[in-house]
Amino acid sequence: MTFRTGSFRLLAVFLIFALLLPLSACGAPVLHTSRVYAMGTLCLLTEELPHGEDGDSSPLFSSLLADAEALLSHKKDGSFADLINALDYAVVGGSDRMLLERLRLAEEIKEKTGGLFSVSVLPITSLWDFESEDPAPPTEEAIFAALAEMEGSALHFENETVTKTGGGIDLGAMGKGYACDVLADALRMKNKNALVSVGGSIAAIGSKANGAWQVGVRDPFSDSQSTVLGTLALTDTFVSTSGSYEKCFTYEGETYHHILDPHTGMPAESDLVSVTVVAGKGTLSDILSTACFLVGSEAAFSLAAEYEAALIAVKADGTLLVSESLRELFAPKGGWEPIYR
Amino acid sequence: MKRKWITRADLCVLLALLFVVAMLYFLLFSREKGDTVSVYVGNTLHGEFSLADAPDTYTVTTEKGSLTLAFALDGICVLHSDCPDGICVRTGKITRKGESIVCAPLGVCVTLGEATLDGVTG
Amino acid sequence: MKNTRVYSLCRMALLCAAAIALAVLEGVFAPVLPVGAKAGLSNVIVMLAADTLGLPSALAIVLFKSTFALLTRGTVSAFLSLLGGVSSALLLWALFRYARPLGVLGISIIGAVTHSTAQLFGSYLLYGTAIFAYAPLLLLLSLPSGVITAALLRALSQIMKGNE
Repeated sequence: MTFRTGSFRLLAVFLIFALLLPLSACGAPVLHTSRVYAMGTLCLLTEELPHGEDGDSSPLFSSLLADAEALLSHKKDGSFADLINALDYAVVGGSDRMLLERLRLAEEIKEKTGGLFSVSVLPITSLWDFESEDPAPPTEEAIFAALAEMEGSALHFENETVTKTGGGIDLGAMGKGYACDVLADALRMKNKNALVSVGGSIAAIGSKANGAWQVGVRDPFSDSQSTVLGTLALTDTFVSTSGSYEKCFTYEGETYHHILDPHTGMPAESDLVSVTVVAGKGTLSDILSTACFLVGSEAAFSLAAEYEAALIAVKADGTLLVSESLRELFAPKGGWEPIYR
Repeated sequence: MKRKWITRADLCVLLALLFVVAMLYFLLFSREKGDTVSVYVGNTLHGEFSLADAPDTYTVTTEKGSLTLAFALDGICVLHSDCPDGICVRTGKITRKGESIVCAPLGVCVTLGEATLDGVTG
Repeated sequence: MKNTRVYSLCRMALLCAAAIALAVLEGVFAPVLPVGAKAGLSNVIVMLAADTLGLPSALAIVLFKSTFALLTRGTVSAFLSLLGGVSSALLLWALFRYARPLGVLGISIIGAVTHSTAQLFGSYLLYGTAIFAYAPLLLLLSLPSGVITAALLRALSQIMKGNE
């Protein structure tokens, strides 16, 4: 008899604990990652879900990315770039109005870099196929013709109408950053804490429950995508990187990378191999990363400073240059000795 | 043999067993999800992947044979192994931080860990 | 029961044959279970022996079973079989002797749990901690396995009684 009552009492205590234990696991915010292939690249959305795992923003994420691609890609029929290339003018209105302002920014930076950064580069970018099975550089004649086509190219703005002169528009150098801007706006409206990555261009929206978003900066000398040279702690900011290591091919012993110099039509001869830009807007960081790569390490820092942007630049000789303002936010990995400036 | 078939004590045993199962389940599977995969061959780190942007499959080749891993967004499993027992394949998918798949014959160990990074730019 | 030695020899042979038959039967379902774990159906014979014939006979059957596993399924299986068998035989015998309030069902459930826990521990020695992910599943499986064992034991002891 004693055995029975004793064990039942013990069992009751056990069962109460069993019921209570799972409760302690609730309430902690969960990080949820959605993965979408859009804009010709892998896009990730990491968001904080305060109550368990329901209600992630992946539908919003993929639809906004599809919208951005439909607006920006010159390969999509009816996109802004497609229309302006076909008609020399296009009207940008409604929810796409942010594009007007960003295109103005692109034209401004084009002026500041003496035409090194330009969106009117479709004639030469269409000559280079970095995704092809056996890529080869275009012929000199083809490049010469393309450069002639791009002569005097510019964008003009009047209300909601953009007109172009000269060569076709390719928004590849600002599209990922633009998508980050669009997503950041939408996620902020929903009061989300999230980290968006559109092919390596990053929007940090808010911060995590336990501090800033931790974003690695890829090591340009490593083949592995997950090897980093250091970590950035980010809160409400945007980051983009341009590097000569991505999208490149070797043809007859010569290596060609994808950051093209609009003056020569050839891959840019920069003293840099990678530039990471931390800026207040996604499009700005994306444009500046390309622009800073093109102007080289000497001019890059003063260009970035004009837009209150910070840089992490890696020179071909392995020197790591980092903006003074990132001293607190950037943690280099072992083996990397940053020079702050 | 005068023993009864079912007694009250038996029911206690049964309930206690269910309780232990529930506890174990809770202890083992309430752990946080892992998001970084580390692949070891012997004691050397062979490769590291983030589940978010890992390839679909990855093949580890050792002196004793090769082993193919299949990545998913929420975990990883061994798709194929040259080992004779196939235990690593039957282990199935692991999703929680600290879990690992061991292929003893090939000396391969796959562990799920916590990512220190939320993203990578580049 | 004129010749006790011949009788007990026959009985042992019969039990060993039954244990192996059950082990083979179980092998048919084994691929469903991960980690090479066994539900332990052949435990019923060990149980019967532990209850009616005593510890040495139970251990003898366990040893015989492991030898069979060694010949048919290799050293790893034999090791796991021996580990699971010896520990459950010891515990079953002790329970039949000393645990008054327990019924046959309870004892056979405990036997199944012991069997799989010991095998799990053995697998841990061989393969490391990842195996423990199966602990809940294995323990849960020892529930139906315990019930089936108890039912089998009932049928078997009826047959044995009829023969005496």
